[in-house]
Amino acid sequence: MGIERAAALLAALALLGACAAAPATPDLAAFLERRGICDHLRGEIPDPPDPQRMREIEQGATQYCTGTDAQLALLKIRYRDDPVVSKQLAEFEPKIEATKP
Amino acid sequence: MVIAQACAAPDASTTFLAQDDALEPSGAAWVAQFPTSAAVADCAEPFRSNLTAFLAALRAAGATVSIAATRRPAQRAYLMHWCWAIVNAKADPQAIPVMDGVDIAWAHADDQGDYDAAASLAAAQAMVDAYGMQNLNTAPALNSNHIAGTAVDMNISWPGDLTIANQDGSTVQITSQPRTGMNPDLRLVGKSYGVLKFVGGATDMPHWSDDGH
Repeated sequence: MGIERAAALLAALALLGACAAAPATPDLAAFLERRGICDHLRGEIPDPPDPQRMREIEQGATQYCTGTDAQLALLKIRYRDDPVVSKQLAEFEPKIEATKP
Repeated sequence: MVIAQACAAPDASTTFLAQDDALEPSGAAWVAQFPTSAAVADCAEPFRSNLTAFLAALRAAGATVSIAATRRPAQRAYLMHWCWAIVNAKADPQAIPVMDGVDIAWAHADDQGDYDAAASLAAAQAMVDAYGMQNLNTAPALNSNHIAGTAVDMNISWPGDLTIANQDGSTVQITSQPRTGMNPDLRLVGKSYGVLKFVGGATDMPHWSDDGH
């Protein structure tokens, strides 16, 4: 194999790897439904603290909120030329998930 | 000693530090302030009247109703949100937006009057713990139907069949299961009063509101 062919092969592999690592843009409708439930649960922290109810909220928040910060950012890029959807997405808090240590 | 932010804008670059003895330092003592209500009287109209009528129908029918929460003060949501954000989302205690009526100093100072990041974080952590939010991985909401006074969390149960009046006075006999607030026939009765069961199904079983959210 010539050096040029080997270099081309390596470049193609690198491109494939980059594509595989890039997160897919989520479906808008699915995001709106999931994030809607997430945002609802974020307003349901039991008060005074109730351990059982809190566990339900924690589990629900993990299920419906995890990953939505990144999904929201991706959707804003995808729909940046659509003013209606952009306005809809702008109403969501951009960062609701805990920062990983 | 506390350091207070003297600028209202949450993202203002002009925020500066000042010592202000009128402010109370953040910490667990704040958790007793601005408690969430369980009183129907604290709901907003017309939801308050609608809920009152629905509850009267439930109780007249022999159902047992236990209300856990109605209105959550916006001030409490603010406190919950920002203590969580300082601990879990690296929010800067020196740049937390102020809220009218909440004289809290998120930024603490050491004996020399300098900003004390560790003390500020520890105080926020104490609030997170006192609110029971140690394992919560998302920020508490700043807005909700509870804050607007248009939601209630309540457990409903009854033995046997439930014969209950709709808002228009017509009577419904509920023989289906479950005998709780998750009953689909009871959901229709509630709707007749303008009290809507949460649209998200079992993800929030005790929740009813004016719009289903």
